[in-house]
Amino acid sequence: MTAGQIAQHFNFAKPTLSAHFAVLREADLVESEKVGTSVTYNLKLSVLEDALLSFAETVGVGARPGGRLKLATRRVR
Amino acid sequence: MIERKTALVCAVLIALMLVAAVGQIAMLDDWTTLAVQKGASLPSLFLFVFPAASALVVGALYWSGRGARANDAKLQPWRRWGKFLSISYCGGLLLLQGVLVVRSRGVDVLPLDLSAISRTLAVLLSIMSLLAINHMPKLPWFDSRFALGGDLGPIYGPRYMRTQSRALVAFMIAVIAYNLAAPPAMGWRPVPYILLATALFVVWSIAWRFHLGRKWKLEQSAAPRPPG
Repeated sequence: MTAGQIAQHFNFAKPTLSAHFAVLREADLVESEKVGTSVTYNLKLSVLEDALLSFAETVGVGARPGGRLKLATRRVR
Repeated sequence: MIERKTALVCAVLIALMLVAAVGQIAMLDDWTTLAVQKGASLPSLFLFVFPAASALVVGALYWSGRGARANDAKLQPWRRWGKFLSISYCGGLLLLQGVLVVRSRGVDVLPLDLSAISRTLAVLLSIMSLLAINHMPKLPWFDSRFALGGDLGPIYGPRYMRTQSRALVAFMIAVIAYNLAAPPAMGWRPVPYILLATALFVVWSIAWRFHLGRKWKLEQSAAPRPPG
């Protein structure tokens, strides 16, 4: 998902979001790749973390009203 | 991906396995059969399975690092990961082979059944491999000069690695479950099936890589080029 696409899900300015992503990248939680003019962010999860998250989503554990934030988080692949 | 120093340490461990195998076979009356415990025997060439498996894993890790097209910061986590995986894998198999050799000489060092010891070691080795493979998707993706199927790019590369890790984690969980649940009389019989499953996995992995490589190439050629 590109920085622009992620920004559509939040009420932040794009530079603010970029700063947040820089912190996440430093912590090795996401990785970014420049494809053409846009930057693509990938959430880095281990296989078991990914399986647990999918399981939690399936059974509805940790679901928020509307589930919008959770959906956005999953789309960051 | 491993450094030269790690590869050398692994080479020493593999050499020890080979020396143990050759030494044990040289001492046998009938060199084709290895008596592992009362009433149970194995083909003596089985002693070469562990060094061969170690050489395959270490060789693949070393080869993957030879043609890496990435900066040092990207390769550092891979080196740490490769060091952990290769040394513990070779060390585990050396221990397993040691148990086999000691028991085939009729020395009862431990008051335990051979299958119980080998099963425990196999479970520990599988857990260690599972932990290493589980961590693979968190490592940075890099393209290699000698990769089968060509470049996969930043989209299909991590996807390939993730799918491969998932399949391997499932395989490792199956191996652990088998070792914990199978009856003791099964002995070494499942080893050919495990080797067959490994070969099938390698074939599937190569085919999947070719498919994604072709897909990435098509997308790249279809993408609009900058003017000029």
